[in-house]
Amino acid sequence: MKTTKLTLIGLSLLAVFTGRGFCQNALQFTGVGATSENAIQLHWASNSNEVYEVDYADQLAGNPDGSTAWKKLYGDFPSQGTNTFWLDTGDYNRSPYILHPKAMPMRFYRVVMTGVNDGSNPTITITSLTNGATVSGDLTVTVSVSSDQPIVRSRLFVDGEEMPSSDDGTNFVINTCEWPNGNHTLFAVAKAQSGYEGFPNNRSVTYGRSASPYVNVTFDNLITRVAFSEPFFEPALGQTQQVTAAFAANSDWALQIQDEDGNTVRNASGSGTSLAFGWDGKGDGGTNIPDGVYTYLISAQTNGQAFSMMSGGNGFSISASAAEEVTELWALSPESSGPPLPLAIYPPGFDTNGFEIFAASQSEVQALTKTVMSLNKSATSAKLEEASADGGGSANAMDANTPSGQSTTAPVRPPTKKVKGQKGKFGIAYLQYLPAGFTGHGPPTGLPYPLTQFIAVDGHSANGNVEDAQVIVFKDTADGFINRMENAGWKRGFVHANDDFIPADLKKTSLGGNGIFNTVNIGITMTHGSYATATTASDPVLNTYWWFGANNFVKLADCSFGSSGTNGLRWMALLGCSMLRDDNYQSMYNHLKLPINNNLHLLLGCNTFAGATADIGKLWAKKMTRSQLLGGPKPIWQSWYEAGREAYAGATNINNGPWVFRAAGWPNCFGDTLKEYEDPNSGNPANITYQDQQVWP
Amino acid sequence: MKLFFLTWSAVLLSLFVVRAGEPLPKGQAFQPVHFEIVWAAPTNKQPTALWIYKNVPQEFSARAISNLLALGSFTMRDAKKLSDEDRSIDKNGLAFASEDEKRYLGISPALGLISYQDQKADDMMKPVKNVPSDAKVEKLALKLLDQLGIPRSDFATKSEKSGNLLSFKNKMTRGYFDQKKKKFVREVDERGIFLIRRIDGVNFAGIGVAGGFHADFASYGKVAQLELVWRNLQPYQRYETASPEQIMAWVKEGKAVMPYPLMNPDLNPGEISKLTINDFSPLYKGALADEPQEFTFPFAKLDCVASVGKTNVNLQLYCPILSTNRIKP
Repeated sequence: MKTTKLTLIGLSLLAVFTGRGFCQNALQFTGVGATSENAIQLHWASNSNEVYEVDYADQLAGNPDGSTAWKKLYGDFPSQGTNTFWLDTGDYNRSPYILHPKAMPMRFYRVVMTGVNDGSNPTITITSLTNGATVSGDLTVTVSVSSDQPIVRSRLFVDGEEMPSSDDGTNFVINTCEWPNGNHTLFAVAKAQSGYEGFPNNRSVTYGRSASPYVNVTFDNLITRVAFSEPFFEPALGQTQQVTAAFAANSDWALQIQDEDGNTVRNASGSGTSLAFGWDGKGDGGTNIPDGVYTYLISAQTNGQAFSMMSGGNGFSISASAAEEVTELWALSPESSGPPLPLAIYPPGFDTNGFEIFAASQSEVQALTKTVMSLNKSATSAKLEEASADGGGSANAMDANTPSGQSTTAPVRPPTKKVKGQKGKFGIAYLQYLPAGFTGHGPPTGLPYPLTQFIAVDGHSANGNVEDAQVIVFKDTADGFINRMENAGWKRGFVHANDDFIPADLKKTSLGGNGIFNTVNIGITMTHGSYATATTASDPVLNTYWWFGANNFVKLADCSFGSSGTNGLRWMALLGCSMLRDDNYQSMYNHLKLPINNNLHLLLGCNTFAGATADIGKLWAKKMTRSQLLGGPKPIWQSWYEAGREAYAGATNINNGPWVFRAAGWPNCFGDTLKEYEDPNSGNPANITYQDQQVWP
Repeated sequence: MKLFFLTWSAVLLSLFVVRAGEPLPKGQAFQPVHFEIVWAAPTNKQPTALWIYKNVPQEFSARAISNLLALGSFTMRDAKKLSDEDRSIDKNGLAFASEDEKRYLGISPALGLISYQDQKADDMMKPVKNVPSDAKVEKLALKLLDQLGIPRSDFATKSEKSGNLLSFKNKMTRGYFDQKKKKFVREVDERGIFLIRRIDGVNFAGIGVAGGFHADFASYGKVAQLELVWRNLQPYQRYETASPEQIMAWVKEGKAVMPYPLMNPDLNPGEISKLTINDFSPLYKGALADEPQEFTFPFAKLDCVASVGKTNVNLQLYCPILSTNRIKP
C-alpha cells in the first residue's frame, strides 16, 4: 500500500505533495480546486489499475505522538488513468455526517493507494452523451457496462461527485438545474467481482474496476444552482430550509412546494436573478402540514428586465455575508495559470508546493484578477458577472440556447432529501471485516458471558480455527438502504460501521449492552453470521452468533430487541448467514431465548446461508416504500423476502442453496407496513410465530 | 489493394456483428480460447424469422379494470392521486388503495403492469384453511387471467402436444405452536404460481417476472398478490434468424454469455476442447415490472455439452439470434 500526501484547505482548498518516485507515476496531488459551491476537487497523478482511498483530517499532527489522525472519506475508487480526480462534498451516509467542506474551517487530505485490481476489469462508457453536448433540465445518463464477471456495479460522477445510484445499473437521472451553467465533466466507474461476499470458509472473491472516458458537456439552463441548506430538513428542531437558485437572466419565478400527492402546500414568487426562500415547514397561511416527502417545483420565465448580481454569486463567497472585507491568505499557483485560491495553512511553514502565498481581501483579489475561481464557471456566467460589474445587463446576455422559460423539480442531487420532518428512524450497524477478513476460534458458550469453553460453529471443529472473508460490499448495502429510506422520509438514528459497531450495541442491557437499537424503529445488522452445531453442559441452547473478529462473538440469545414509544424498535433485521437457522431458532424458542421481547413486532433474518449483495438493502427499503402505482408498499416481512428474491436473481457462486429467509414475531404484526402497524399482542412467548420463504433458487 | 479490401470487409463485418448483437440477459461472458464446436440440435425448432418489438403503452380493457376493481372491492372513491414519483413513471397510471391501506391496485399502461396485493389475505392471526393445492392454484390463476382478458395461448407450455402450461411454483411456510394440538406445527399458508409469456410461439426468458404473470393464494384461495407484466408489443423490424453456422461463429467470437445462475460456476471456458450444441430455443428478453423497456429483442438459448479433459459437463449459453437480413414488409 502506498500513501501520499497531505493537503489542506481553508475556506476552500489547496494542496500538493508527493509520494514516492518509481518508474510509474508517483502518487502525488497535481491540483486542488474549489467549485463555485466550495466543494473541493482533488487531482492526483495515478496509475492504471490502481484503487484509491481518500482520507481526511481536521488538523495535522493532532495526535499526542505528533501523527495525524486520518479518517476515511471515500474508498474503492478506481484510477482514471495517469490522472485521477474526485470531488469532496462530504459524506452524508455516515453517522455523524462528514460535512461538506464548505461547512468546515479546515480540511486536510491524503490519497492512499489501497491496492490493485486482482480480477477481470469491466469496461464502462457513457453512451447517452457526447463530448461537447449542451444539455438542460432533467438528464438521464446511460452507461454501458460489460464484464465477464457475474456481479457488476456502476456509479456515475459529475465533476467528481458521486450521483444517486441507478435502479437498473444503467440509467442515472440527474437534474442539471442543480449545477451552475457551463462545462461539467461526467464519468462513470464500474466494479466487477467474481462472486458474492460473505460465504464461510474464506471463499475468495476477486475484483476488477475501471473508469469510463470523460464526457465534457455544457449545462445550459435558465434555472441554475438550485440548492437547499438542510440535507434532512427538521423544522421541529428549529431548522429552516433555505431554498436558493440563480437564473441565467432576470426572471419572474414561482416556487411551489408539493406534497406526495402533488398538492401544492406552499407558494412563493418573485422576480430577479436569484431565488431565496426560507421554508419553515408550514403550509400557506401558516397551516400545519404533516411530516413527509415534499417536492420543490421552481418555474421561471425571463422578463426582459435588467438584472443585478445575485448576492454571493461571484464565485468567491460562501454566502452573502462573506462579502465582508476580511483579509485572508490566498495562493497563486507556480505557473500562475489559475485564479488565486483562498488558502489556510497549518501548521505554519508547511510545504506550499511552490504556491505563492499572500494576504489579501476578496475585493483585492477580485481586483487582481477578474477571473473567477470556480473550476467550472461557464462562459455564460462569466459574461453575466462582467455585465453586472458594469452596473447593468439584460436578459439578452443569456446564451442563445438557454431556455427563456423553465420548470424544474428538486432536489435530486445528494445529499439533500425531499423531506420535511421524519416518518420514523432507522439504525444500521455493519462489519466489513477489513482489511482481510479474520481467523478465530469457534464462539465461547455458557453463562456468565463469556466463558473460555469453545463449541463448534458452522460445522467446524470446536477448537479449530475458522477463517472468514471480508465483506466489502456491506457499505454499499447500507448506503442503498439509507438513501432509499431517507428519500421516503425516514431519518437515520445511527450508522455504526466497523470499529464503531461494538458488541454492546447488541447485547441486552443486563449483559452490558447500550440498547442503541432500541432507540430506532427499524434496525439492521450486516455481518457474518454463524451457528452452533452442538450444545454444551453449561448452555443447552443451540446458539447463533455475530462475529466481531478473532474470538469475539455475541450470542443472539443474549439480546433483547424491541422497545415502546414513538422511537421504539419495532422491526429488527439480521442480514447474516443462518442467524435464524431452523434448528437453532427452535432451540432458542424452546428455551425462551429468542431475542424478541414484548415490544418487538418482527425479527427478520436468514434460515440458511445467504450472500451479501450491494442492492439488497436498497431493495428491502424500496419494497417497503413502494409507490401506489407499482402496487403500494409491501408489508415489512414480505419486502424482506422479495428483496432477497430479487437480489439473488443473478446468483452465481452458490453451492450451498437453497437459501431461505425467515420472519419471526408476534402474529398480529405480520401485516405491518412502515405506515400501518399494530402493537404486538405479546405476552406468551409460545405465540411467537415464524414464516419462511425460499429466496433462491 | 487486396489488403484494403480485406480491411474494409473486416470493418463491415464488425458493423454487422454489432447489429446482430442484440442485448442479452445478464450473464458471464463465454470467452473460450479454442475448441471444436458441433451443431447437434434439431433445426426444425428454429423459426426462420423473428420480430423485434417496440413497446408501446398497454391498453388494458375496461373489463379487465372492472374485474380488478371487483377483486379488490375497490370503487372509484378508492382511486388515489398519483404521487410525484408515480407521475414520473406513468402519468396515465391508475392507483387504488383501500381505506385501511391493506389492499392496493396499481395499473401502469407505460410499464404494461398490473400489480395487486391484499395484505390481509394471509392473516397470521387466523388459522390456515384450505390453501389451494398446486393444481388448484393453476386453475385459479387461469381464471384470473380470463378476467384480465389474457388468453391462455399467450403463455408458455411444457410441450406443444400437451398444451400444459409451463409454470413455476411458490410456497410460504408458517411455523407456530398449536395450542390445541399442544405441539409446534409447520404448514403451508400460501401457494403461488409464475407463468411465462409467449409471443409468436417464443417464450420470454425467466420465470415470468419479466414478461408473464404471478399470483399467490392464501387460505380459501384468496388472492394475496397478483402481478402481470404485459407490455404492448408492436412489431417493429423483422429479421431472418441466423444460421447454425453463424451462431457457432458468434459463440467462438465470444458473443455468447453463460446465464445466471451458472450451471457450472467453476467451469473455465478456456479448458473446453469440444462444445456440442444439443438444443436450441429462441427466447425474448423482457424487463422487470418497474423497469422501463423500449424494445423487446429475441435471443437464442443453447443447451450444450462441453468436453473438458475426460469430463463432459452440461452448459447453457445465450447468444444473438438475428441475422443481418431484414425482411421488408
